[in-house]
Formats: sequence, structure tokens, C-alpha cells
Amino acid sequence: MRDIKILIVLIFFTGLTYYGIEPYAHHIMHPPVEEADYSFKDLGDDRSQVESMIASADVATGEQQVLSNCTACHSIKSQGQQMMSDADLIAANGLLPPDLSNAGSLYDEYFLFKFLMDPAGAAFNSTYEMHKKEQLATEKAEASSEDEKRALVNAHQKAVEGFKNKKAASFIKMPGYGWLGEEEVANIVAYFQSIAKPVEELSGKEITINACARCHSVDYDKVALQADAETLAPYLGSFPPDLSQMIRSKGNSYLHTFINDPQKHLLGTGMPRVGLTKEAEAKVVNYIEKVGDPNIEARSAIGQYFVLFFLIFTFFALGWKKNEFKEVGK
Amino acid sequence: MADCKRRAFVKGAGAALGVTAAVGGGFALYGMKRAWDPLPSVVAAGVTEVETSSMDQGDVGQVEYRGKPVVILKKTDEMPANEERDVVINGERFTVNILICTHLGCIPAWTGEMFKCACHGGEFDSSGVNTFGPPPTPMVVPPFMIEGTKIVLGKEGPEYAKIKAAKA
Amino acid sequence: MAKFEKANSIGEWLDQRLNTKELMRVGVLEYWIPKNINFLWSFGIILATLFGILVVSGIFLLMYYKPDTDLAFYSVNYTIMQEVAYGWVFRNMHAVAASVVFLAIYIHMFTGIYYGSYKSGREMIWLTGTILLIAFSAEGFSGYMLPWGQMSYWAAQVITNLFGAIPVIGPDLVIWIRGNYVVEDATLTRFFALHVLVIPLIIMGVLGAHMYALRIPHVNNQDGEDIDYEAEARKFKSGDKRNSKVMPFWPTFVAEDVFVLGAFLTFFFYLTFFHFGFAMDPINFIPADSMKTPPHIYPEWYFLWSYEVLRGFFFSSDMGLIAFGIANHIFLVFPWLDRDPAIKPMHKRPLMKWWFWSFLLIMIALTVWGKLPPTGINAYIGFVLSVAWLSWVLILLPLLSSIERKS
Repeated sequence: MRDIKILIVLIFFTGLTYYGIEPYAHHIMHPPVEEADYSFKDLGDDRSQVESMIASADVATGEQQVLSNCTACHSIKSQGQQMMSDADLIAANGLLPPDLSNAGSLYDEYFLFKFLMDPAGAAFNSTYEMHKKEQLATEKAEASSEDEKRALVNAHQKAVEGFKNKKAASFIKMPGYGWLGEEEVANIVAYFQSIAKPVEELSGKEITINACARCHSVDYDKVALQADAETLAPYLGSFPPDLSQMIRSKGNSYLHTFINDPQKHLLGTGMPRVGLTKEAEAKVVNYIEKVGDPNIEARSAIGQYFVLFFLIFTFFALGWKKNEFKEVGK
Repeated sequence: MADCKRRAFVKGAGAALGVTAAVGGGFALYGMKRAWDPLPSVVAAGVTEVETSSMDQGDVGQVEYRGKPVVILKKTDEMPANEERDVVINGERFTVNILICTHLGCIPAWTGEMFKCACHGGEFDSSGVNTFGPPPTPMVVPPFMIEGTKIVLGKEGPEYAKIKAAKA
Repeated sequence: MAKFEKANSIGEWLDQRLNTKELMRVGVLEYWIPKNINFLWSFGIILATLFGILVVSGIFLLMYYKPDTDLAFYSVNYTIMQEVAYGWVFRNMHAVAASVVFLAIYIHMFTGIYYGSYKSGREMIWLTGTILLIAFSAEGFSGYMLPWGQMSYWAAQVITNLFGAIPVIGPDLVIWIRGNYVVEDATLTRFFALHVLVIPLIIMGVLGAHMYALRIPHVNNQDGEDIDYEAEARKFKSGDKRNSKVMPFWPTFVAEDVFVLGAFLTFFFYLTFFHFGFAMDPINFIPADSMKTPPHIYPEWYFLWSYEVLRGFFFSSDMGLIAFGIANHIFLVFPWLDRDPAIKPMHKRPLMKWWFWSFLLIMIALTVWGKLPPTGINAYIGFVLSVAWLSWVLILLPLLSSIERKS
């Protein structure tokens, strides 16, 4: 029975080491973040008002507004709206403004409404400010003197201002439509909803191309970058990575919270929040997983036979061993 | 007599063979050593030019110089001057450093106040001088020359000679 | 020339030409193993098997891998992982075996230390084994570079930089090793050559020496008992198999080995298919970028303890490097640091018993802190652990063992 005792000791120390270097160390290096917030609470507390406004909006007026304000830069292919070819749009804008055919179902209506009112605010500033505030709170708690606290507050104010200025100047070429008034913006959103195919009818690849491909390529699935690579890096601060292996380098849960709110993980990043709905985002992550790690099912299918084979092998080996040991009286 | 000579020759030949083999082996080792040297195309020096006129105080830029990242920081007035390391163009102070931690070669990140290395926690101030942790020396100032408002990395100008002299 | 009679079987034909019967007798049938052992004695066969798995899976990876900084990442993560039939099986096996082989090496080593199997005539077994550990480390390090991900690149950057601290020639040596001012294509291709040919050849050679070294002083046993192998072998051969203290390598010991191996391989293939994340770091699925250090960099788990000894001296890189140098080579002289020549397991050594278990815990703690970010209190814990490790090996081991010898 000494062998069993030794085995227990072996398993204990191996397990202890494993726990320390894997679950524990990774927990320390990547502290868990809050769940993804698909209701975009930081944009305001008027979600229900906005929703009822959109529900009772006038689709026909919305269509008129879209035709006079959006189609110069955006195509709406499902409605036959395309003033310029995609290539020309890229040449004119640096990147391809997303096609709006399914904007009404892919993107959360409340987010879309706020985005049209103030693009940089919805994509960046609101969430940046929120996370910066959280950061300030923890730093203030650690600060020792009042002077230090005041300095921290100043530094944070400066950072937020700088961030907003930078985004206002360089980021979104998309202008805000707040000047149309809330009612008209609601009409626009309602129009998008009226023409959009439901998310269930769209593939993960289609959604990814619409939501992500103007900055990110997916090489392993031959999804090309819909932008002029030369202008993209200065525009965003650094060159956006290819998405082919993201599922392996970041993992499922990180991708969910990151796509929902990039600032949560990388405060100050140039990646905007695009406001995908929960269902649309799940399809994007699922697609990235299919491209980056297509062997998930094969792994368990084949793996179980390997394990079973060696269990049987070990069972027979035990019999042989017992037999041989009896022979020599051990 | 002849036999004796013969033996001496054989003995000598043995020693000579040993020496010849050793010399040959030495050349072979030299050849193998040389095969691992950097290729001429790698050695051929690269020159990188940086335009500074568009930078504001506190701006940080990064360029690639001979495969290494070089950071260019336009100092703000609050940042302490470092007479021995600052690159001065028209009265404005710049920190120009090879952005490689002098400890083990990671790339420190600029935090807004200092350079911090993620690998082993080393810290450098806004002039690139090591202030905490394992880095043994300040970050290296690459050879440079000032041409108007441009910094040319890879050529040695009088300003670089001064910094080099101050270090020595 | 010897006279050959017409052979009646293939076996006889071979025996005439290769003396196979005698070879079998000396090699396995009368290779005597003590009966008083436990399953830890089977880790040799586990290691040999893992090395075999690494060679075979490695050959298949080699058929598609492209040693070029522009192509390497794609050839591994797309061609091998997604296009080649079962390519991902070979890669997972290779990665997991490369990680688990170190677990087996460390268990094998600490078994040797626990039972005192490295002294009084068995020094060469230990020495060749330690050289194997160093060779495997070099093999692991060079192989880790090949997928050309972020961890590959930065591990290469940091480790090659270590040579820069050598006085006088250091900086030039670093450039020579890399073949460039930075880790680059030339570095990748030369480490590729080392990984697939040079180091495996060295490992095979030293592995042969390691097994040969076992034959002269014989295998140790659980109680460090000095067995008269000739007498016990005679007893066994005369038919008194039960009372003899030894058993033959074939078939008895092999039967035990195969059983332990089967159990281990069950575990190994479970890891390969269902739990391989520990051996394939997520950060290495980001292509190498010389302009961006990942926020946390750390070596593979089997290097963590010595890496932490290096980092522990956070205030002085020279001291850290000296300690690191000691850490990587001290096991070579272990037999001479243990001043008590008596071969006894730790549970029969009143002082060394405590030394052994606390030393094991220090190694594990170093491994864990080697992965944690070196900030705040962790820097100081790392320092304490590093100093403890050095004093456990350099001071306590000789001191306690010589006290035991005298008493």
C-alpha cells in the first residue's frame, strides 16, 4: 500500500503546483471583470423612454432622413442604395462605413439612438469616463494625503479631457445628428429596424464583416480588411490585429466583455464600442471561435477513444504485472 | 642508423600530424563561428529620421531603429531637465532613448510620468534614468545627429558626442 | 572467419551473426532489478516513452513547419492546426509531452534525492541525468521559439540577453547568438536547427550514457540496502525466485513498467485532448511583435523556479544572474554537497527529512511566484524565497548531512 501513499503525495504536490501557476496566477494577472452590459446603462437612464419613442416613431419620415443624411457615405444594399462602390467609399473615408441594411437588428436600439445623437460619446467617452472614475476611486483610496488626492483628481480630469479632445479631433468621421432632434433620430432608428433582417437569419461571418472588418481582417477565413491599411494605424493609435487566432489568445469570456466594452479591459484603447446586441455578439464570438479553433468537437470525439484505449491497455497491463509478480513472489 | 632516423621521422610525423589536425580543427571552428555572425545585410547600418516640429510638449513617439524601438518624448516644463542626456532642439528638450530595459531587454511602457517595465518591474524617469528595480543602468541614447528640427538616428553629431563624453 | 552452420530459424540466423542470445541475456534477461522498489522506479520508462512521443510527433510537425519569421506562425496555427489531417493532434501531443516531460523529470530527480540514489558509486547516473535536464531545457527553450508568437519572441529576447552580462565578451556574444542585433530570422533558423537535430542527437547520446551508467552500480532500492547482486542472482537462477531479493528486467520489471506507463499515458492523453491549455500559452497565439512587450511575460512552468531565483534579486541584476547561474548548475554537484555517504531514504534521516520536504516546498513556492507579477510584496517574497533556496542548497544541505554522518 506504500505505492498508494506515494501516489497521493505525488498528486498533492503536483496539484498544488498546478493550482499556483494556472488558476491562481491567472486570476491575479487577469482579475475578473463585471459581466458584459448589453443595456449600455452608462449612456443614460432613459432607455424606456427612448424605446417607446422608437416604437411609436414614423418609419416613412425616418426613411427620408436616412436618404438625405446617411446614404452619401453608407450603402444600404438590401434597399438598392449604393451611391459609391465600396472601394471608392474606402478611398474617400479611409475605411468602409458600415452597410446599414441590418443596422436595426445587429445594434442595440438604445445604443444606436445615442450613437446617432453623439457618436464619439456613445462609442468612447461615456464608458471611458465611467471606468476612469472607478480607477480614480481605487487610487484615491490608496492615496495617503489630501494633496495627493487633489493631484489625482486633476490628473484624471486632464486625462478625460485629453481623451475626449483626441476622439473629437481624430476618431469618428461620422458626424452627430443631435441637431435633428430626438424625435427624428428615433424615426431613423425605427426605419433601420423596419428594413433589417432578424439576427437569426444572419450568419456570424456576415455580422463580423459588418461590425468588425472595417478595422480587423480574418485571414484564416479570407475576410479582408475593409480599410486603407496605411491610414488605419494613425487613426486608431496602433494597427488593429487580425482576428483569426483571437479565440486562442483571449478566450471566450474575455471576447464577450471586450467587444461589449473595450474600455473595460484596455482603458484608453482606440477600439470603439459598436453596440452589438447580445444575440449578434454571441454570433460574432461563435464565428471567431469557428475560425480560430475548428477542432473543438473533433478533440473530444477522438480524445475519448484515446483515453478509453489506454484504460483498457492499463487494465490488461495490471493483469500481466500481477501474473509476473506472483511468479517471483513479490 | 637508418632505422633510428626512420623512427625519428615517424615520431616527428606523428607530432606534425597532430599539429596539422589541430590547426585544421581550429580553422573549422572559426568557420563555424563565422557562420553564426550577423549577415552583411544586417550589419549595414540603417538610418532613421524623426521629424519633431509637429510634437507638442508631453507627446511621446516611437520609431524603429535597427530593429529596436526608440522613444522620443518631448519634455514638459514640469519634467526635470537632464543636462547629460537631453537632446535639445531650439530650446525644447527631448528624451531620445532606445526603449529597451537595460535589465533583460523588455520594452518599458510610458505611463505619463515614467517608463515602467512589465517584465521585472523596473522603472525609469522621464529622462530614461533607472530609478527603481533591477535595471542596472539608464536606457541607452542611440547615436543621433540634429538636422534642423529633425533627429537623424544612426549618424553621430556633435550633440551625441557630448552625451557620449558625459557618460564616459 | 567463424564457421556458420545452416540456421534452422530466423532467431538462430540472427544469433549466428549478431550474437543476439548473449545480447538478450546481458541486456534484459539477467539485468537484475531489486524487488524492494515502488512505482517511482518506472519513471525512467515514462521519460523514454515521452521522448519517443516527442520525436515522432516532432517529425510530423517538421513536415509542414516553415522556419521563417514571416511564415512560421501561419504554418503552425493554420497549416498544421487547421489543414493537415490530425495535424492538431500531433501539435497538442508535442506541446503537452514537452511540458509533462519536465514533470516526469522533476519527479524522477526528487525520487533520486529522496532515496539517496546519487551517491557512493551512482554519481555518474545522477550526473548524466542532470545533463539530460539541461539538454531538455535547451530543447524546450529552442522549441518554444518556433511558433513565433509573442511568448516565443520575448522569451528568446530575454534569455539571449542573459549572456550579455558575461564580462567583456557579453554584448558581442548576444549578437553572435542571435545573428542580429535583435532576435530575428537568423535567430529562428539557427534555433530551429538546434531543436530538430543538434540537441536531440545530444539527448540520445546522453540517454545512452545514462542507461549504461545504471548497469555498473545497479539500481537503488527503497531502503538503500546494499544487495549482493551476484549471490541473489544465483539464487534466482537456481529456481528460488521467491526468496531472491532481485528480479529480472524482462519480463518482471517490464510488466510493472508497462502498467505504470499505461496509467501515465491515460493521464497524458486526457491532458492532450481535454486539458492542454497549461502547455499552450494563450499569449503565444498572438504573432510575434518586436515593438510590443506583452503585459505579463513568464517562461514555461518548468523554468519558473530558476527564473524566480533570477528575479528574486530585484535590486541587483548581477546578483540575480549569479544566483541564476548557480541554480542552473548546482544539481550537477549534488552528490558532493550531500556529505553523508550512507545511502538511506529521507525518512531514515532525522535532519535531512525536514530538509527534503521544506526544499520541495521552496521549489514549488518559487515556481508559483515565478509566474506572479513581480510587483509590490511579491518582489520581497521572491527575494526571501531565492535566498532560502540558495541557503538550503549551499549551506543546509552540506551542514545537515555532515552532522548526520557524524552522529
